[in-house]
Amino acid sequence: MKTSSLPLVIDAQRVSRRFGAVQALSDVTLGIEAGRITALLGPNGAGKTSFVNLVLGRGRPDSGSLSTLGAAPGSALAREGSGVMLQSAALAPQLCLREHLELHAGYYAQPLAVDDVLARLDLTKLSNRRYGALSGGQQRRLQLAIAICGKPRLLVLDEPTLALDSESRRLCWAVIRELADAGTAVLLTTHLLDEAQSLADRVVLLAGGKIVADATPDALRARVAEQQIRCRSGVTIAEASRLPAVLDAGRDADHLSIRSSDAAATLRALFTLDPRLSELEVARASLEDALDHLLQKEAA
Amino acid sequence: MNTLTAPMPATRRQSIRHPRLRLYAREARAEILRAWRTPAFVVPTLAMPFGFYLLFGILLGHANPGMAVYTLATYGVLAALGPGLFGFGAGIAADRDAGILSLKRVSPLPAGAFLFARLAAALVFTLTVLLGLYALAVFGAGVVLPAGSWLKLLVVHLASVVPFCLLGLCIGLRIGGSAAMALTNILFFSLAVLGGLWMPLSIFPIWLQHVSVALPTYHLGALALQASGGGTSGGSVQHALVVAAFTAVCAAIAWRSWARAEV
Repeated sequence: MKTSSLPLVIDAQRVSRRFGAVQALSDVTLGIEAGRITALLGPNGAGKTSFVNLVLGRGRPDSGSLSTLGAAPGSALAREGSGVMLQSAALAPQLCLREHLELHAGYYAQPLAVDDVLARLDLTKLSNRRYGALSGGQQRRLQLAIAICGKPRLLVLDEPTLALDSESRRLCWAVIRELADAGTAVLLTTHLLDEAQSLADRVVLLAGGKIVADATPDALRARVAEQQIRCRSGVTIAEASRLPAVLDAGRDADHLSIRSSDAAATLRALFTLDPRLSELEVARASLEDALDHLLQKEAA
Repeated sequence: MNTLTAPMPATRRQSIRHPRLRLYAREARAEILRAWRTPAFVVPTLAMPFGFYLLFGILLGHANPGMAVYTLATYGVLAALGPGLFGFGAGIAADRDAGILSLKRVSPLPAGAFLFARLAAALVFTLTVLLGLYALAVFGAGVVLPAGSWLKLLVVHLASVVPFCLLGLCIGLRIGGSAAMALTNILFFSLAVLGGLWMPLSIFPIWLQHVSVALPTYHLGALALQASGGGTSGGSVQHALVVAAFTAVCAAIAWRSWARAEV
């Protein structure tokens, strides 16, 4: 993906990192821009966590250069401008929400108003409840509140909405989008591809420590030409497999599913074969399909 | 500008004006609150020195005024051992396991504020126990000491927190939560018993007394006894030097552990 004219908040140049025999990152060059949400995707062991750790100063690259907010990662300057939500980090169970938020807001020079942050994440009613007495989803929302309370220029989110219900997830997405629109650079790692699809302006796909793809979610989906056709039809799998451009076909009960590299050509032939077909659905490749395709291509 | 882009209004008067000091004070307050709200920490930390003093210093030592002073001096060191070892050792190891330390280290909180807060919590707990112990000694056991001795005793007892905190920090930064809790318990009882904090060393076999001399608790106990007017072998400078050396070694290991800890 071509870099835009937006200022770079994270600037990684040919960064490599090795752990024993494992090459976690290999020659990664990546710029994360202000005001955009960048999703870092990839299978387990792809190098996402290694990259995030380097950005946060939890380790140093073996080679290459990396700056966070124009400073050394982990330096006071970089930490003062960053908000972080780690997947595996809990908070002290003995303190109340408000106590936690006031404490963390106090780390920053110009924090947001605690009451506003609580209200925005729908935590006001819980503000006097101890962290240990909250549900998993409520704890995640407080962790996001803590990540944003310093009005960060860089927001690093590691699986931010894991274990959240759909309503809370949408709330968190709205808050993250609001911050990005106000100029915050957001670096997001997630296994939830609908999250990347809905939230990210840009998707960076890592595999084996290298960048495999770097584009907008729509551009990535467009790279995969195949489409999914689903309809109610009596056509058999064998008949469907002989239709033009069909990659594979399957059935469940009364419905026929076809994966096609040219949906129009397949549909024309399908209508000829079964003019009475109904409940027709044609879908573009999902982001998951696109990523699978790219990862398979990379593996090949 | 909306609620998430407008900074916090400066309407509240801050009691501490310097931002850095305010940050340290807030962190310390939070750490003290955390500790107070943890019964598994509070109950043994407070109950053990009080209970032992009631038993050995007042009830069993009723006919022996020297015993009341001896146990006051040594249980005061015991009062510092608990918060130092458990607050730092088991506490930091548990925080590491839970990821609490990771979040602190990527936040703008200075490392000094984190450590200061822990130390402040240990000092507050120790001071609370000491005040109770001193009150028990005066009103329960009839201990009478010159004001200078009380002051010296307080200084020795409070200073005892530092080496135990550093020892705890070495454990907390290097060992996982459950193992750290087990090791801290073993160290607590070993240092207390073998250092002569629970009972006089003279009841131990000679070879065990030689082991005791290598322990910081023995030397801190000796300093506390001297502060209270009791006599022990060896000068106070020698005891203080041993404690200082132990503290310096623990500080060096803790510093190295902090720099290398992957949290």
